[in-house]
Amino acid sequence: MNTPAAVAAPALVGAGVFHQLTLQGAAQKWLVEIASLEGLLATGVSAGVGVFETALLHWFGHSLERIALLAYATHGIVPTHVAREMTLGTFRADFAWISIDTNAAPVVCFVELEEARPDTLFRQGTRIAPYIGRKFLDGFSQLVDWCCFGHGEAKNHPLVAAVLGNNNRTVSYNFSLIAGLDDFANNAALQHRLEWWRRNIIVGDGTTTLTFSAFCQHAKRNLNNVQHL
Amino acid sequence: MSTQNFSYRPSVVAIRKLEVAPEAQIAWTRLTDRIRRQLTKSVKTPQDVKKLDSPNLYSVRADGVSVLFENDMGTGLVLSVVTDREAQALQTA
Repeated sequence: MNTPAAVAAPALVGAGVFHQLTLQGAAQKWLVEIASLEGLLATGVSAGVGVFETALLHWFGHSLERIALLAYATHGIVPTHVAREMTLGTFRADFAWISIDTNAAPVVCFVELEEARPDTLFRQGTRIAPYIGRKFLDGFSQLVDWCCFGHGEAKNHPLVAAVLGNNNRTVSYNFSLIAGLDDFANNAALQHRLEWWRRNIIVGDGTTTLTFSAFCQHAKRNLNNVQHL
Repeated sequence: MSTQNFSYRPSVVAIRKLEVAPEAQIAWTRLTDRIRRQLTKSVKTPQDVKKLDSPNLYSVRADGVSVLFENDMGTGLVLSVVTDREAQALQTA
């Protein structure tokens, strides 16, 4: 029977609080974690049904290091604080991370994950050309809400403020959406739309949208680049 | 960390954004100017930029921030911006 790839419910990082983390040897550990994530995604692709959102939330929520990987893959930043299921005003982010660095401005980011199934990004409807997928639109809507209505909430978030402390640097607030897999864009029309999606889906300043395929590519590219320094 | 230090330390956020923005492929001179501005006065001359062994790759380090960038026939692209803290975290223990 074809069922979406899933993983057994693991122990998860405590929700609703920022956890401070001090990473050591993160590059090597993340290479192993990326291989693990690629394995999970490949299982879903080979089954033809992808990976459910819950499985992905469990995978990332399993450890502080995996949540930190969200920051490194999407922004090339090694965070100092990470959180799972962080409330943002009337919204709830799947994950959040903050970077406090003596040599850089603070960065705060809220992250939304959607599933990685064949119809996440695009779906077939009553016309030949594919439609944008409902789950992608759900995540995109969340990103729009955060940008339009959640920015002030993020700035005034008591837990964020507690981590940022009293500093007079300009804080960069960011919002990320990770959804879908490139593998399911398996014809010219879908690939054309995916390429357009990559270049053009930008809600506003500070937003990032990636597929899980691009997420893994970016993470490996960032780790490769840093070896030159 | 003191708040006083934050007042003059450079922001690398603008440089980081170059990594993902399509407009990152701006003219090489504009890119290096931008890096120099972001990294304050520590990077004053072209000699402060180090040529790496890999083709077209350059790096510059100042104020606790290392920037890796590529020069492709006059077009520059920031590949990585890493603070000292991040470099330490990424290293093998």
